[in-house]
Amino acid sequence: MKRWSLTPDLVAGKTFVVTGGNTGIGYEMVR
Amino acid sequence: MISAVRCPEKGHAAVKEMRLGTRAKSVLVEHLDLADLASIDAFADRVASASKTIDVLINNAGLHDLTGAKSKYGYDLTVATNHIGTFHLTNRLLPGLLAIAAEKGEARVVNVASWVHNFAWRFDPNDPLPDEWPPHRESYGESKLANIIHTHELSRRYGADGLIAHSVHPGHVASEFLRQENLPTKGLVGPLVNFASALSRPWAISPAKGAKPSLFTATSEVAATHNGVYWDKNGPARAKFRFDPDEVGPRLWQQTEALIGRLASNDLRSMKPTNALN
Repeated sequence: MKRWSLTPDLVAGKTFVVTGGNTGIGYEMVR
Repeated sequence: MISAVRCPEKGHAAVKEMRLGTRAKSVLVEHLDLADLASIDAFADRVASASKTIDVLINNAGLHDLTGAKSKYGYDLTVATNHIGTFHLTNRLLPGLLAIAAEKGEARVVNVASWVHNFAWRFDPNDPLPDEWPPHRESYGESKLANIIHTHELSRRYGADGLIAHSVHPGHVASEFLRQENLPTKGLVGPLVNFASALSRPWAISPAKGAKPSLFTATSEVAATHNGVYWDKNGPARAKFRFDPDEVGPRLWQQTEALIGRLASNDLRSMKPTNALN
């Protein structure tokens, strides 16, 4: 997991529901 | 992405910031208060009418209340938010998740739990979710343990249908997780928690690093080869169970469903909320 990074193909065309406001998840997803 | 937040104003500001320097347009902000079953139902209805299918649900929202506050349904606010709300939301969104699993072969649920589940010393495997939350039981640790058991049970029930469920420990993240409104205004607990929080700040990881276990389990091919597993930053980890999760999982599921039914039917609504959150 340490060397892994999120790439556009992993999120493309998918619908994500993310709960909670204090999160880096959204930032990483649209970056 | 649908960003479901308790305070939409803050959510819109965060999304505006996220979009800076990117071409991302498809981020929606929706109101969701996990301590409020009606809010969850309304959110699920909006999602169903807008999208109908969901590839990934990341149950990241949570709180740690130290004031003894109750939700407007009269249950311990921490457990109501972290476990009961997460459970109810997941159940309400399950049709959309299972539809995408049938179409594409998989859908995923990630429950953001915590290493703090290790402190659920008083967890009762025979009564994981009592009708009234006993004040001597540690609500945050138990709610996070419940997230892990819920994950295990999701994989057991729906794994054959293509649902992949993971729980994760995000690490000690520098965030506004511990809100001042959830700290007692009298006594030493509030100042001590703030002091400890400030002291540990240099060791806290960034929100981006804290998001990694969630994003890894939500999207990676490696994580698709596991199901019902608890992860930390190094990979699959051993959750500290002092019981058989195959036995306790169905019990927690049944108790949570029954409690939600009672809470929603006003049985406990006569109890007044005890802080400004409600």
